Amino acid sequence: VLDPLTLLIVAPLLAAGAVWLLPADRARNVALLGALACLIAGSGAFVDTVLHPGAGMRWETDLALIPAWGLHWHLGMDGLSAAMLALAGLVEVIAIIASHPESRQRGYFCLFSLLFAGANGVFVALDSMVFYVFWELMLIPMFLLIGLWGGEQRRYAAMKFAIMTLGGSVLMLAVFLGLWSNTPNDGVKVPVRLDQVLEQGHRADDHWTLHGLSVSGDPLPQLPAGMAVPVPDHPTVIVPRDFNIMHQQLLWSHWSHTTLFGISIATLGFWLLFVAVGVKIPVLGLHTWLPHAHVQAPTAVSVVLAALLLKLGVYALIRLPYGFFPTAALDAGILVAGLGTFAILYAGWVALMQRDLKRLVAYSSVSHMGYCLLGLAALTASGVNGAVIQMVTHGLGSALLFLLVGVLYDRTHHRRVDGFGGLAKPMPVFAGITLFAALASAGLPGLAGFVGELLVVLGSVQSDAARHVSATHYDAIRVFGLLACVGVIITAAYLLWMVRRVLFGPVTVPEYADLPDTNATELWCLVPLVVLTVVVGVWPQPLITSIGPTVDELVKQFAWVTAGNR
Amino acid sequence: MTWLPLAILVAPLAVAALLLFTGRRLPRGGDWLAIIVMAACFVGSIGVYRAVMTPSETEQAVSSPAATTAHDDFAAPPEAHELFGPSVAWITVPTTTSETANHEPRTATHSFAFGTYIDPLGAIMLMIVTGLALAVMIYTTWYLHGDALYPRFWWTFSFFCFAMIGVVISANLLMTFVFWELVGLGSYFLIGFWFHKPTVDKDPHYQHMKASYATGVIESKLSPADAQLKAFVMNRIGDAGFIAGLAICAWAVSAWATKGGFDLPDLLSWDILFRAVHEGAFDGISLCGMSGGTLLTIAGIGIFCGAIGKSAQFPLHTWLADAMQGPTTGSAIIHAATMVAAGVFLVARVYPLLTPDALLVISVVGGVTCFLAATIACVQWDLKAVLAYSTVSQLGYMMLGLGAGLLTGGYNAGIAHLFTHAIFKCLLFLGAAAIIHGCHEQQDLNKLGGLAKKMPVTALVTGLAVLAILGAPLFSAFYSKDGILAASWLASNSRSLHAHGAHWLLAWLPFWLGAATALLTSYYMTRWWVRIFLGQPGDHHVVDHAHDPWLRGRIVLVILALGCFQIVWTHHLDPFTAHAWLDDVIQPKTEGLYATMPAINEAQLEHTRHAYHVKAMTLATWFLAIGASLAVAVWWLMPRLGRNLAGELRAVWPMSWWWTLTSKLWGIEWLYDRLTAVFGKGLGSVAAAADLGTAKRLSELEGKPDGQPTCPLGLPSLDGGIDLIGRTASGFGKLSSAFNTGRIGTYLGLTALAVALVLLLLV
Repeated sequence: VLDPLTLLIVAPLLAAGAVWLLPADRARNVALLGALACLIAGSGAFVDTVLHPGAGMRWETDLALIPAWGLHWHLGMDGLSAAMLALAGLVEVIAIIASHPESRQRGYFCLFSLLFAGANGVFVALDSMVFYVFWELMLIPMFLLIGLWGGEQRRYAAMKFAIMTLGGSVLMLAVFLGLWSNTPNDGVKVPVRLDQVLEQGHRADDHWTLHGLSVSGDPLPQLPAGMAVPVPDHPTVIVPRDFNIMHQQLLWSHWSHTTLFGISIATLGFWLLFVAVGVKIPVLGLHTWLPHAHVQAPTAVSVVLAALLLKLGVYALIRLPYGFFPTAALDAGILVAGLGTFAILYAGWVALMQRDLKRLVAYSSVSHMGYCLLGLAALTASGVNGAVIQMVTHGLGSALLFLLVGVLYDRTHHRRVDGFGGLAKPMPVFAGITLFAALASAGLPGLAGFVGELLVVLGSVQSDAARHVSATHYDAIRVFGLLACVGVIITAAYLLWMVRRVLFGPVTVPEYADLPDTNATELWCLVPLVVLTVVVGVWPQPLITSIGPTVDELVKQFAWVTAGNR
Repeated sequence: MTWLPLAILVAPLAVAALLLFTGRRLPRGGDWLAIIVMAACFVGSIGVYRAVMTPSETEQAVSSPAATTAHDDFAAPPEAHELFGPSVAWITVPTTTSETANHEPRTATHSFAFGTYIDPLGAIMLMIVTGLALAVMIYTTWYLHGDALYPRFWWTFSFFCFAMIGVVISANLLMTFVFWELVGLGSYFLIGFWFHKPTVDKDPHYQHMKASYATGVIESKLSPADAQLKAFVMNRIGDAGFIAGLAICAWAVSAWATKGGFDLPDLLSWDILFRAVHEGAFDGISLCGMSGGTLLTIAGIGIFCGAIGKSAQFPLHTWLADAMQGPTTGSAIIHAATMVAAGVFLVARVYPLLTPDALLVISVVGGVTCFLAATIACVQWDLKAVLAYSTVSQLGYMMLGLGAGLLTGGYNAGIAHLFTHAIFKCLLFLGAAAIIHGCHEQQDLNKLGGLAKKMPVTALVTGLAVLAILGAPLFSAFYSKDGILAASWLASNSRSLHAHGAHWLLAWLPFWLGAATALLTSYYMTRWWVRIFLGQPGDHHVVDHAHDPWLRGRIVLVILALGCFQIVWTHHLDPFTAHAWLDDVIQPKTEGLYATMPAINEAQLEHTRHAYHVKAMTLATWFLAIGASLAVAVWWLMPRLGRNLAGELRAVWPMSWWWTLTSKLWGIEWLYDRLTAVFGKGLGSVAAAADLGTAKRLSELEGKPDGQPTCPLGLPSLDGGIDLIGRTASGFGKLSSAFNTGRIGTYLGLTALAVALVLLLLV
């Protein structure tokens, strides 16, 4: 049972248990051990997908829990999961190192470990019920971490977080159960792509299988060279009633032709799932829990929240609404892209005038996540790759910025932008890293932030995903792509203006004239992120190699859907 | 040899990285290391230049087709060729397309690569950049000695050189953009060199040395830290256009390659990009009813926006004067010689993309910029500010030349002016550094004067540089400046032939503004030199201890002064059309524009150009004589006669009105301040209030620690609305307060319970 993916879930769970049982002064080290295991397994998964790139799931575990209901303990990963797992491992280790709860050490680290188990679980779950359980498992510890270890307004922030995100999860559960109950008992026969069968299917003795379902269809008159088993033309599979995410992704044509309350299930399901994961991303309009939560959360919790939990939202967006309902996703493309572009510009504008450093960084997260929506809605290889890279780079960049705000807060016990000034003089190393983080976040070429934004812009300008909506909407996503370029101005403005007010000029508060610079523990958290930001910025190809096949599979699926197979 | 440009690129980066971490521990801040490496780079770039201009037998293989084009007027001299360095894929994105006939998805691979490319344009630019950087570095060892931040200069400056070299030798548009932004970062570092200084209204030192007349600067918003922010953000405004233009180009090339069914090793490399344009890649795309041709114009103007930002063109020119907050020697290379010239270089690089409409836009922007900045330079009293606005003006001049098109000779003249200007403007700034250093940091022209006796070398070399910028015969800009004027004259003439009304005005505007600038330039530069070096000082204490720089500084000045003479440039100013694409692409495109010109065959065109050059030369020489005499009369002769002619003129209408307008910088600085206040801060506040509620709501939230939100809901803010929904959903708050017992056991139990409950529900 101890395959790497199960380890990713079991290790933090074990750590959580051990933290609870062992004395409080061991708590941090035990939790760190669990996180390190996650980092190693996650990096291993990532390296595997870089060395052996390919679409399709690998390292699968499939145990039937309730066979009659089609409920399985089904884990697996592809390049997208692997990149996220590596990021998650890194963020988890750094969050543990950066944690210093003043009280209730055991509870804190125990909840942290549970949170990690949930997050890792979401990235590897291939069964929608397992997915949902892990989704909840990550929300509840986060709610408690904010509510118990947060700042003065922690209860308000935690409640807002809990109500909004749990409200979203309810919708997710509703869709999962609704899809299940609308699937006929004896399954549905649906067409699948020939190249998908060839790439991801398996050859049994006398037939092909795809995701464990046997493929049938018209026999091909000519056998491709080297094919021992005949490949069927116009392949179809019969998808049974179960919770398997891979199976659900084959059912899209069924859902676009089935209606509920007069609306096609595809449209209904897409929007419900979009709202469910949109709270987490967060999509503009569903984001107001984020500034409150960040402002109240302790530093390490903010780091996890921004660098990891927001990524779960985008990951789920790619897997669930876009994976399950491509026809509805195509129809919704303009709205999704518009929301993303508006978020880039509007949230940046809001960030400009924030007086609390953490709230500023929180709004910058909303703005940066806008690129993910835009790139995904573009549905071009560049756009979707850019969206995924943006997830990784935002993970690095926002973690860095929140850690730096934490460094300041530990020394001065406030976060007001106008309460600092000239800190570059007493804290040169801190100033250098802060400037670095601001530039990376503002998308300076050569640093990580640029790669994602560039690919999203290029991808959306090339997009023709809106062409099926109507002739007048044909160019909408392209124009959004060009509009997103304005984002580079706003991002630079609010980040570098913040840098100017906090770091440069004369020292405004006399007591801060000899603040101590970053210490060794803080550097242990910051330097790996700095190094990775440079590495990803200069050499992003391994990341693209890892996620590329998954993205390409998605793009191919949409190309197939748009090419008249609706 | 193909590796040499790459080595020249990487070496300064290595130095910058090394000095960033070890600079403070090294003797003399590691300046010797930076200088030695830059000297090596300079030697290397001479080697690159020789390799490009005189290929050996073995390198014939990589020479461009242009080398063999028998095209007397426009083609390169037969010995020039291109040098392609090693190229590696940077980003490779597999692109699936469904464009094939049978709707089977097909995968094509388009890459963005990193590589180096040198042509004569790049080779000369490379020599200029490394050579001037070396000169400035040596000079700085004198200028900044004793400064507490001395070690910081060397890694920032080396980093800047790395980025600048990258722009010059980049093999594709994307890498140009990458280094383009890094150049902006290098400039950011150097402008904010003294980052700890307060705003100048609170800086007693600045108040002491600032010019005595109002200059339109908003003092409460000027400091090195503000200036660097302003420079970066204004550059970013231009870069937004750049990246949009780049995205349109990538779209067109990608669509073209997809349709053709081939993979591209480097999507935006110069040769692929220009070949795609030539083969009608833009005809395959359309946007919102705009044809591919319009999109090509938009892409060209978008990329030109980047140049507007970096080259400080109207309307983004205001950052350059503020950038003078940096060390003067840094300004010499960044804000005079190289970085700001990068915009001109970029326009020259992407020339095959520029449609006649785009060229007209470039002409107009260049014309407006050069005139606007020249009028401001006439009334500035800060000696660096005069030079800063003069730089803006000259950059506008180069744009004017480039915008005139290829057939008029404007392309050639604009680039020639880029090179000649780099040398003499760098020299002027280094001279200014000597004056500032020698006169107790005093920058007010009113307090200076009569320095020729105390600083003979500085007076001589800056005098030569002033003659060069004036375009005096035998000096370097005589060819390039008159060439620009002639080209824009010719271009305006041909553009106006069948134009009427506003179009006619638009066609002639660039030339008129350019000609007026020639007059103004000769006035204000002569004024600058006369006011500093002749006459009586306004304040004797200031000039008492004035002295020339150390020997090494004087040597640098004298060597640069040699570059002000025409003879040095004679053999180097012509080969820029070696661009193979310029012949293939530009000429057919621009023929339409010039079809109305009376002379269209080669010989006649050459004749027409010559005629315009003579006309322009005559005009410019008259303007030079008038402007320079006026300046000498007003600023030297009249004061000797005891009359303050300038003061008297200022009091007379309409000169009083004109003086107010120009000395307030045409109100542009003020306007931008208002715009920032309204659209940045004002609109930002409104957006912030609409999102989380007003400051009142937030402070009430914050003022109630650990309480239920009893504050007003904060409608109509979004968050307030969500609160309202939350509160109407009754019971949620009470339910959760039951969980908040504060005991870990409860929480963990509840978590487990929730998980179990979910599982149970499913079974």
